[in-house]
Order: sequence, then C-alpha cells, then structure tokens
Amino acid sequence: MFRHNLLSGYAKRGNILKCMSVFIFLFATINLSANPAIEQQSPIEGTVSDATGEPLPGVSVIVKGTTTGTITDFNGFYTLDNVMPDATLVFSYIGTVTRELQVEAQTTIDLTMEEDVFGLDEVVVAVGYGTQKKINLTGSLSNISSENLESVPITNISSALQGTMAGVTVTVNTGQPGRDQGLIRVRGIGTLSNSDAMVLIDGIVSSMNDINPNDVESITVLKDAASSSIYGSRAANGVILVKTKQGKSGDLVAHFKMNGGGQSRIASPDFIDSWQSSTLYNEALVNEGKLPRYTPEEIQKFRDGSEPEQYPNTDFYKLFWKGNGLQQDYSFDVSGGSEKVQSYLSMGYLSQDGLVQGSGLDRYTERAKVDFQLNSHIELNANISYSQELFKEPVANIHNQDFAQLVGTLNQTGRVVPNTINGYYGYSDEGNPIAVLKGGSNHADKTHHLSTIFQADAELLKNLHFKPLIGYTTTILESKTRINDQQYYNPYSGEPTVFQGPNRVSDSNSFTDNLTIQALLQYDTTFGQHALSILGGYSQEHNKDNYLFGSRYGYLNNALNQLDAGPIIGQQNSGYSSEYALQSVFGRINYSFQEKYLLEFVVRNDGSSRFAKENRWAIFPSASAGWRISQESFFEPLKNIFSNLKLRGSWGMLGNQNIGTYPYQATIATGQNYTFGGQSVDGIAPIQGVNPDIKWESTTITDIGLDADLLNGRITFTGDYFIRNTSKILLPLPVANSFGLGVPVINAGSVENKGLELSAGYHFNQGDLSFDINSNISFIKNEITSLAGAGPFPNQSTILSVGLPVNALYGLVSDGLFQSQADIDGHASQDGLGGPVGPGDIKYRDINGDNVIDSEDRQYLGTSFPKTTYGFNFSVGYKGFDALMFFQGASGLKSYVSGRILGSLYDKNGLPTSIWLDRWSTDNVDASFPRVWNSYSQNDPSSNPSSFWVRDASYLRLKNMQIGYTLPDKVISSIGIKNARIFYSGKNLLTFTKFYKWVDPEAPAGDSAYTYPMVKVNSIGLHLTF
Amino acid sequence: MKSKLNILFALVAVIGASCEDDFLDRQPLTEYSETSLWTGENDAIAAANACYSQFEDGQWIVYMDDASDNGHNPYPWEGWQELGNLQLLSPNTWTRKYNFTAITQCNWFLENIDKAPIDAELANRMKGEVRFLRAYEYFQRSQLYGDFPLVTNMLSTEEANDVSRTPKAEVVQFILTELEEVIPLLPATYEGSDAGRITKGAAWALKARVELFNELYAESAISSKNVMDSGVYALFPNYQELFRVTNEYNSEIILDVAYLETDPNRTIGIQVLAPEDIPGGGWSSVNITQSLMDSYEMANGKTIDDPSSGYDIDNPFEARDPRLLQTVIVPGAEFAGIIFNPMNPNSLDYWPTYNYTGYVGRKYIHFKSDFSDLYKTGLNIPLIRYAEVLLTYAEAKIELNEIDNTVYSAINEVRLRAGLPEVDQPAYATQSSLRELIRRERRVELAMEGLRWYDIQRWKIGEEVMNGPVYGARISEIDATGNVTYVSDDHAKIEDRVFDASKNYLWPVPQDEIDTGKNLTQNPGY
Repeated sequence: MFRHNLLSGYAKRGNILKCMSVFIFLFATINLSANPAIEQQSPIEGTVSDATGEPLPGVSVIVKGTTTGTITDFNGFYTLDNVMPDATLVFSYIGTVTRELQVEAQTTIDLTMEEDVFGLDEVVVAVGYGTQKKINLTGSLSNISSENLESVPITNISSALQGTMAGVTVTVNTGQPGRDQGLIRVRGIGTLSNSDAMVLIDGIVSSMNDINPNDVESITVLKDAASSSIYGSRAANGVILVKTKQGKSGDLVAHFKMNGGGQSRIASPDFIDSWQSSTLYNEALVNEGKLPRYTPEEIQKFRDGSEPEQYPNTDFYKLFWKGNGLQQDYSFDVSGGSEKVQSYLSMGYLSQDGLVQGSGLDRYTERAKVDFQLNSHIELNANISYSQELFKEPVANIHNQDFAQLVGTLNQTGRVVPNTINGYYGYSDEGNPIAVLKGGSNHADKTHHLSTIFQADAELLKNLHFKPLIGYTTTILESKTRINDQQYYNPYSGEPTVFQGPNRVSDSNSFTDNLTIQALLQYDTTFGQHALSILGGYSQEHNKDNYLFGSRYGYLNNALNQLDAGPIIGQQNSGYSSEYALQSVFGRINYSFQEKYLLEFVVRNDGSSRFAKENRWAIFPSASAGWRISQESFFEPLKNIFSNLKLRGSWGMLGNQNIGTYPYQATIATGQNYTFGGQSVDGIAPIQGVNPDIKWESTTITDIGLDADLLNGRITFTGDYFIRNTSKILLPLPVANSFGLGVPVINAGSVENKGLELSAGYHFNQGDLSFDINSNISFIKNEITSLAGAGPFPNQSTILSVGLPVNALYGLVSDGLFQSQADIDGHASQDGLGGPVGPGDIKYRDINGDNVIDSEDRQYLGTSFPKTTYGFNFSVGYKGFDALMFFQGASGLKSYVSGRILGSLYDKNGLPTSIWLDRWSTDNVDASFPRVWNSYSQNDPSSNPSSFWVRDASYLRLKNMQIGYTLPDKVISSIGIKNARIFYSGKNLLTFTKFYKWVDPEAPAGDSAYTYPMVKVNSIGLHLTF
Repeated sequence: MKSKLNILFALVAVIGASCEDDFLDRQPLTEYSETSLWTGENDAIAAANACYSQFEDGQWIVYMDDASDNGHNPYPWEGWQELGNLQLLSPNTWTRKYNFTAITQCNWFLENIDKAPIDAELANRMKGEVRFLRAYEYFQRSQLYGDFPLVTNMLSTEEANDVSRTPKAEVVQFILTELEEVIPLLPATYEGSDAGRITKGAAWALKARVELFNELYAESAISSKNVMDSGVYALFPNYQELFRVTNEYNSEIILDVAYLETDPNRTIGIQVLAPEDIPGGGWSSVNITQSLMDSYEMANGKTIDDPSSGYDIDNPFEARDPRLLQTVIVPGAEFAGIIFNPMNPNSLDYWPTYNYTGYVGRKYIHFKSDFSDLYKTGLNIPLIRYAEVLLTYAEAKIELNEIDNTVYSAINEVRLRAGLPEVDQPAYATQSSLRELIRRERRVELAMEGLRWYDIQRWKIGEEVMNGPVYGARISEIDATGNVTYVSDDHAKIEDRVFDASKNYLWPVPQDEIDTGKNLTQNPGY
C-alpha cells in the first residue's frame, strides 16, 4: 500500500519531473566525470601475443581493483590512459592463464599469454545495456554461447533453448515447419495473461524467430529483478538478450556449415481398424437403447477387406502424412578486418519440407555488421539484417479454412469412409481430408524482416562514454489464402453431390514498424580499491501496425489466385491500424570494493501510451549485492579447491504492460451491421468492456544465489532460490454474462512463484581426451495468492483459484467404474451428467456428500505446468571424435486427453483410438475405459472433465544426440581448409513418458487433435572453416 | 573538450524535447471512442442499427424445432439433440440464449441517445424500436429459462456479478409495459430502405403473443385484434412462396430477421435443412418426426385417424394438407435435382447412418435456385407473421370461451390460404374441440418457425408429446424416379425420449454463469 501511494504520487507530478530526471541524471554523470579527469597519468601501451607469437586480439586489460580497462585490437595492441604507477594490470583472455603485472615506471608492457583450459575468470556476459564479467555479477542470469547451439540441426533458437538453462522452461507444441518455436517461460508463469519473455536482439526489441541461429554469439536470460529491472515495464516475465556475432580484426575467417536430414513423426494417434470401430459403434448404440448400425456380415466385410470400396478400412492418417519431411540448412559467414574496420557478413538458407504435402518453410537470412574505429575516442557500428521467410501450409476448404481444420477433419473421418470408390472420392460430413489436400487449398505467408541498428560510442571525457543508438525494425507480412472449391460425386451414378465452395482468394498485408531511439552515458572509475561504474540512459520506442485485407470469391475455376481475377460481387476488404509508444529513463550504479564486495542499484522510470495519463508513469527499482568469499584472506587455505565462491542477493521490482494497445479507452466497434429493405446499413456498438483505471502489473523478485568454481574451473556450480511475487495482475476476471460486453482487464490478483534452480558442470581435458557434463534442474511452485476477493473461476477443465497454480486442471474425481446396478443404486445420483447411468460408467466421488454428483463435486486435479524441469548433457571428445547426448525432461505435471484425440463413436465422423478397445463390458470388468458411448456424455472428458482422463505427463526426452569427426589437419590443409568436421545429429530421438502413448506429453492439455505432430529429426552435417 | 560538452548538451536537449506529452498520447485509429460519438443523426441511427444486428439468429429459429416434437437433430455434437430428448440435457449444454449482448447494446443506446442533438420524433421512434428489441430478447429468455435477470441499464462488472434472476412474472410485466409504451412511438409502416424496422403492428403482435403465452387471453385478443384492424397486414396468397427471397417484406410479414447475400457479414446458412445428397450438400440437421407428419390433416379437412378421411397408409402423402409437402421433403420426393432417398444405403441420406428420420425440411429452401450458395443466403426469416396473429386471436377467444364467428373466420382465413376447406363448424363447436383444432392448426402452419417448443411449454403437454419413442419414415424401397414401395409396416425408430415434467419445461442455466454470478440459481432438477 505504501509503495503504491509513493508511485502514484510520483506519477501525478507528471512528465515535467520525469523529463527533468533525464537532465539531472545526465548532469550528475557529467559532474562526476570531472574529478577523475583532473588526475592525469601517463598512458601505457603494449602488444599481447599467444604462445606461438601470433598477436592476440580481444585480450582484456584491466587496472586491478577497478573496472577501468580495455581490450586488445586485432594486432594484439592495447593502450590505457591515466594509469597510476602503483597500479597493477590484469591481462586475461578465455583459454589463457590470467597475468598480473605491476606498472611501475613502464610505459610499454608486452606480454605473451599462456594457454589455460579453465580460464573462467574472464567470462564476460551480456547484461542490460552492456556487458559484465561473470564473476562480478550480482544478479541471476543464465547464459549459453554459440558453441552449444551450433552443431544441433535447429530451425529456430527458441526451441533450441529447451533444457539448457535452469529456470528457463521451454515448451514446444508442434513440429510444423515455421510453427515449431518454443514457448519460453522464465521462472514459471508470472502472470495470468501474456507470460512471454521480452526478447532483445542486439539491444532492440525483437522476436527470436527473426534470426539465423548461426548468427548468434550468445543468449543470456535475465532472471531476477536486479538484472532485468533496467528494462522496467516489460521485464516482468524475464528478458532474453541475444547477441550476434561480430567481426574481429585479424585474418579473414570463413565458415561454411550445412546439414540435412529427415523429419518423422514421434507419435501417431492409434486409431483402430474399421471392423473394430464399427463393432464399437454398434455397441455404443445398443448401450443407449438404439439399433445397431451394422450387421455381423457387414462387420465381417470390414474385417476381411473383401469389398474394400464399400467396406473399407481407410487409414487416412497414413494417406495424409506423406510429405518427405526433408530438412536442410546452409550457412556461410566471413569475418575479419583491420584495426580500423571490422566486419561480419553472413547468409543462411533453411528449407524444411513438412510431413504433409504443401507444408514447409524456406528462410533466407542475411546480416552485415561493420565496426569503425574512427579515432581513439569514437567507434561507430552498423548492424543490418534482413530475413525472408516463406511459410506455406495446406488448409481446409470448409469452416475455419485453416490447417488446424484440415487436421481436425483428418482426425474425425472414420475408417469406414472409403477414400475412393469407383474412382470418386468417398465423403464424410466434413468432406474427405485427402480430397481436400489434393484439392490444393493453401495458405502462404511471406515475412520480410528488416532490422537496422546504428550506434556510436564516443568517449566524451576520460572514461565517460556517450552511446547513442537508433534502431529501426520493420516486419512486412504478406499472406495469401486460396480456397479451392471441391465437388464430390455420387460414386455409383457419377452425379455431382456435395459441393464445398465457393472458391476464394484472400490477401492480406500487414506492416509493422518500430523505431527505437536510445542514448546511454556510461562512466567508469576507480579510486583506491573502489571501483565505480555509472550508467544513465534514455530510450523511446514507437510502434505502429497497419493491416489491410481483401478477398473475393466465386472464381470461374481454381486456376487463378489473384484478387483482380475474381468477381466484384461479394468482395470484402478490411483493415486496422494501431500504435503504441514507450518512453523511459534509467540508471545503474555498480560499486565494488577490492572486487570482493559488489553492489548494484538500478532504477527505471517508464511511461507507456497503454495507460491513462494519471497511471502512465511508474518507477522500477532494484538493488543487489555480491560477496566473493573466495577473495577473502581467510579463504586462502581453500583457494586451491575453490577458485571462486560468491554469494549473491537481490531484490527488485518489474512491470508488465502487455495488454493490448488501448485497454483504458472505451472504444465503439463498427461493423455491427444489419439489413433494411434489402440494403446493408452500418451499425456501431461497444463490444469490449473497459477499465479506465488500469495500471501496470508489478512484480517483485527476491533472489539469493551462490556461484562456485572448483578445482580451477573443472567443476562449476550455480544455485538460486527466488521468490517472485506478481501483483496487480492485469486480468480479464470472469464476469457474469449480464455485463454484456467483452470482459475488461483489471488489476486483480497476485501470483507467487517460488523456486530453486541448480546447475552444475564438470569439465575434464587431458591429452587427447576431454569430456563435459552439464546439468541443470529447476523446481518451481506456482500459486495464485489473490484474485481481488473474487473467484474461484472454473472454466470447463481448468480453474483460477486462490491457493492453486495458474494452470490448474479441474473436474470431477473418478473412483473407477460402476460394476453393477447395485453399485449405482448405492452411490450418489449421477443423473444430471448427461445420460442414464449404467454399469461401466465412471463413478464420480461425492465430494460434498450431498448424494448428488454435480458441479459442486469438482476439485483440483493437478497442474499442467511442470513443477520440475531439467536437462543434462554429456559430451566427450577423443582425438578427432566427439559425441554428445543431451536429455531434457519435465516432471510434476498432469495433462489429459479429450475430444478428437481420444476419438469418438459417431460412425463416419468418429475415429476411436485403441484405448476404446479396453472398454468396460460384462466380459471385461477390469477395463481401463468406460463402456462405450455415442451421444451420452456422462463419461465424456469434454462434457464432464474428470480425473479419469488426467494422467501424469512427466517425460524424459533424448533431445539431441551427436557424433562427429574432425578431419586431421594434414588431410585438409592441403586444400586450404583450416578445420573440417562431419557429424550425425538426431533430435527428439527418444521419449520416455507414462502419458498416453500416441499423444506427445508436450502437446497442449485437452484436445490436441488440431495440431501438427511433434517430429524427430535425423541429420548429417558438415562444418568447414577456411 | 568544450565542443564535446556542447554536443552533449545539444543531444540532451534533443532528448528532452521529445519528452512532450504527445509522444505517449496514442488514440485508437480504427475505432470510435465514446467521446467522439453522439454528434448527430448518423451516429444515433448507426447505434440503433447495431441493436438489430444481434437481436435474433434466423438459423437458431430454424433449429429450434429440434427442441420439440416436430424435429430431431441426428448429430449429438451440434448440441440440439439433447434439447430434443431432454434426458441428456446438462448445464454444460452449449446451445444457449443465456447472453446479454443484444440487451446491452440496447441499454447502451437508450442511455446515450439523449446526448445526440437530433429531431425528437426520430429519437422517439428509435427509442421505440430499441425498447421493442430489448423486450423481444427478454421474451425469449424468460420462455427458455423462466426467471431471468432483468438488466435495463449498463452495468459495472461488480453489478453484473451481483445480478440475480428476476421472477418470470416480473420480466413478463416489464415486457408488456415496455410494448404498451412504445406503441405510440412507432409508425405503422416504413418505406423503402427502412423496411424491416419495428412497427406499431410488430409491437401489438408481440404483445399479443406474450399475453397469450401468459394466459392473459382477454388482453391477447385485444392486442391481436388491433393488428387485424390496423389494415396494414394481409395473408400472402401462397404459403410456399411466402418464404422466398423475392417475396421478402410482403404484407404478411410483421417482423423478420433480415439477411443479405451480398453482405458477407449478414448471410444465413440454411444448408442446415437440406438433405446431404444434393449438389452443394446439406446438413439434414433438422429432421422432421413422424409425429409432425401425422398432424397434417387430409385435404378434405379430416384428420388421418378419422376412418372417413380417406387416408391411405401406402400413399400417405396423397390428398393431404398441401402445406405438408410444402414444408417437408419426404422419401422419394424430388429436391434440387435429386430424388431424396433415405432408404438407399449408398445415399448420404441413408437413414441409419445417423438415425435420420428420413424427412427433412423444405420450407425456406424449396426455391433452391434462388440461392447461389445455400451456406450463405440472404433469406429473411419471419419471426412474426399475420397468420400467427390470426391464430393467436382465435386461441385467445377459444380460451375465453367466447366462440363467435370471428374465431372461425380467423382460422378459416389461414386454412383457405393453405388450400384447406373451412372449419367444419358442427364438428368443431365446443371449446375443447376447437382447442384441439387450433393447436393442430398452429403446429402445422408454424412448423419450423421456432414456436413449437413454447407451445408445448405453455400447454404443458411435454409428458405427452416429448415422451417415448420417436419415429421417422416408414421403411420402403425407392426407385430412381422416386416411386416408393413400402416393404414393412415399421417406421424408422430414432430414439426414446424421456420427459421429466418436474424440470424439463425450463432449460438449465449454463454452469459457467452460476460459477461466476454469485446470486444466480439453477433451475430445479439440474
């Protein structure tokens, strides 16, 4: 309450104060810079080389006990101004032994670095608006570098992150090319609406799908408030920083990489043969007092296939998934440069053919990065990338006319429907999935994504850097859907029967552009054993979406797909436009004493156009501290075991404003049309409820962590415990229908996530043998702690309720099956559930003891968000050979099946799966499935969600396996190749789960019959370095 | 150094300049906001139009007979089957009218219309239209759910969650009072591009219907008489042609819900009626029961169970009330170029496939060539016809036991238009015999027009007509030209219905609503 008042009080003072704060901050920074600038000291320069005498670029040269330092250029040359004679320089470089040298009277210090396998001290990771040495971090973050991503046949980065980081849960729901991105949740589900993490690519808000995985240098996930609060209002669900590769001075280096392979289905619905389904259909009808549909003779014909046209056993699934599933990926990059100019150029091509014809993805990516060292004070950088993605999929020509509908049709067309008969297509209510597929209705998206980032780094005063940045990104999406009509015929008379049509062409274009302007001032100084680093910044962002749609129908035939070729009558067009803006000032202070005690303070003040004036601005502060125990003198005896031991703690506040563009404004929708006298008239009406008072969601995270490196880096360990509280969650709290409008978003509710994250690694390298083991595990407990006094809110198979997790499954509790009429008579009445109760029906528990089973007897049945996620990999290298196995898994989650993925007995529209076979009957009283039904709904998981259908969906998956061989130098050097590696790689090779065997445990809970199946990939590849 | 500082200040100044308020002020670009509306006639008319856009769904009207003894929905997944056999009806049923979208649009209009600087007469007329539409919504909901929350102004979310169900009697009183009050505000007719707006006659006719349904017979007789005496309405000469696009807005239509083929957002799919086998395909979602078939009289005005009627069980559709074949596609009949053959195992309409009755609807779709696409037609669906008003008048008078010539002539008007003889007065002289006649007449005249369930409800005949087995067509063989040869005395048996009078006269309140609304109660038995 106190904090709330403070913030709103601040906000009321409005923009003047906020704008002033920019000035104040900048002035303060400039003033601070004045003092150290007076103490002029002599400059030091030198050259650093490696053991072979080659100049070593990228070596960090730091004045000990400070954060002042530089990095050697491509000639291994460095220069440092203002170094005190009593200072000590620390030279460090990954893979080498860190050296410390006294300056004394020297003005030139040259040095040769010696190789060291475990040079972990100098690992630098990306943090908000900059980088930091890992050992100096006080916040909690996870980091993965390109080596860990490179050799996997990945089509997008998000899914590649799965299982690689503690606290980062990635779920992949589909294997469809172009749609197989992972859903990333950082530290559980923090909010009840959009929980997507914020993604920045080279500092610009972006999407992980826009980038060629080969361009990625590193990915950092900021997990606690201390590390992410510098991103304020958008950081509540975690921040993912993607850094792309850049050119280094030195010889030109080129890489060519390729891999190719095949995708195949992991699991297929286990639909049963037509004679079995027709037998069950009869049984279901009889169970409900109806006449059987098929005679025993007919069932025999299904069984023996003697009349395959009239009595077929059509495996539509097999006929449908006939795409070749080929996947190929090529990338080429070249980098290098001089002292003054460094550049990186890359291009990539990915092609993925789907498991069904007409589905696929082609992606072309290009990136050019150039760094100019204008003079010793000014650096300029340009980073331009373009990608083009061509996505295509077949679609249905009825209902939603999309791919999901097509798969839905596939999953409901019974095997009793012939595919063809007398050369004509057989037909069920929704048509024939194969006919529709061959009919060629399709959808294609062409996405152009352009990103241009220009930044400069000017050292205005000694150690005071001014870094302006302009980033412009634009995404153009051209979509075309072409629906072909389909004529079916009576297979006996050849007369036309069902017509699915008319044909239709829809075109849409959307254009999104985003302009970010940002300026940073950074100042680093040391005095005595104190090191201070100050960052101040301003950023603003403007985003605009434009969308235009047009369609025509009733083309003469299916030949043309341009709008102009269609009839004008019935043409449609529509469009929309929306925009948002954000404005922020922020600052960060890092202080360290003797590199032992570390402190960091961050504050960000954010304004968003999504809120009303009074609620527009909010402050997000954080503080964190670290204690490097290993630097203490009393720790000296243990130093040979613990090379690094650090305790961290942090607290901070974050926001979330991801709630549509104009949520506080009452808008009146157009298009509520009617017809009078045979003419269309326009209508307007409110359709969405609004809440003018909405404010930011606010998240606080408290984090305690421990980092340890043992045995000179052979063993690494990181552990974090955190409590993440999100309050004022922006939520469309269910409202009674009498409200009459779309449910408005209000600041209701709180969610708490508590968790423990552990990761550990062991690295061994001796002679020709090396191996690495890396593992991570996260435990998370998610709980809704408040719903503003309202609720609980059950919604079919789920519930929102205080005390339960966000993704809580909800339903009746099953106590097995009724075995007899006496059993039924002795039990609470189940008459209200959708059919006369009989033996073999599910017996539901009478929770409230009122002798009637109804909605009052529902209860919590588990969560579909994993409580534990983990990953571990083991890699080994011997001489030229290398091998890797990476497992990933989740446990403590439940899921259930319903709808078409379970199957149904509707004759032509029903496609039961094998679990129906083990149905209850008087001969099979130990059945795992109730007696079969046709229209009764008491056992149906969609009508009456119950624990009967809920199963443990924990799984362990062999996510990736690789075997590679690096060709010996003598073989390849003669042809001008520096390095060559060939490898085999497999993805999603094995899955261990207790869940229904034909349903992927990662598939969305409930009816997943509309999605593309998960795939495994086997591929071989080649990497060449020139 | 100084010049660098200057650059810095210049940059800071630029940044500072962009701190204007405007940068964060972003207004909706493609939607109106509440503040930019109610400036004049255009806004107000558009707001009134929107109230029409949601007030009724023609396809729902057509489906509604599946919830009565007239029809049967063969597909469990469409949600209507359980409304027919009631034994499966659970509070999770999706087919619901439990929503406030149209009511809220009406309330929003009525709360704001006075802000618009427009002609008072126009404002009053539109208020009348909108209040009528709201009353219509409440009529329908009080029929289906009994007690129903009466909401007449815009609610906050808290108020909405606190709402409780208003007793049905109060809702009915509200409807009647509203209709009474709007009658003087409404014109008798509209011209041209306003055709289809609410008229005085529509208000009287709805009032008559609500009064009849609530046993206010004297009032109902007066209200319906007002329509009859208005001189605006007359029966359309041809029953079959009445339901045709080219005859929309004819003299018999008092209220309809309007569609337009050329407006993709306002089309109606009436493929739900058509047989599956026809070119273009149909859904057969509204199967007609044998029970409805049997209630059509012979062309001579006698019922089929009358031994002297001349009914021939081997030629059951010959010499019948002409409306039968104008309403139903029977086995062997021609429709849209095919012979409808539910007895052929190779036909998509083969009756056992989904337990079809073997009869599907013909009303609305008979002139199939009027439509380029049955899934997207522009056919207006009548909601109140003059024929209903005549029958309402007659029934009210019969219930009042004021049986005079006006009663017979009202019924005769309907029967003569259909091609039947006048009522045999000596045979139908008593209140009870006339009651039987008027109920039969209503059933056949208004078949598939969404009213049968309400009639069952108010006559309290559920146990009688919605209990026990449901039958379809008699088993036969049909040749390519449509000649029917009966091969059995059996009729297709479709399902067994069980009607529980203690609960089934009302639909259940959807479970989600009870989960959200603290003060909402479920109907008895659910």
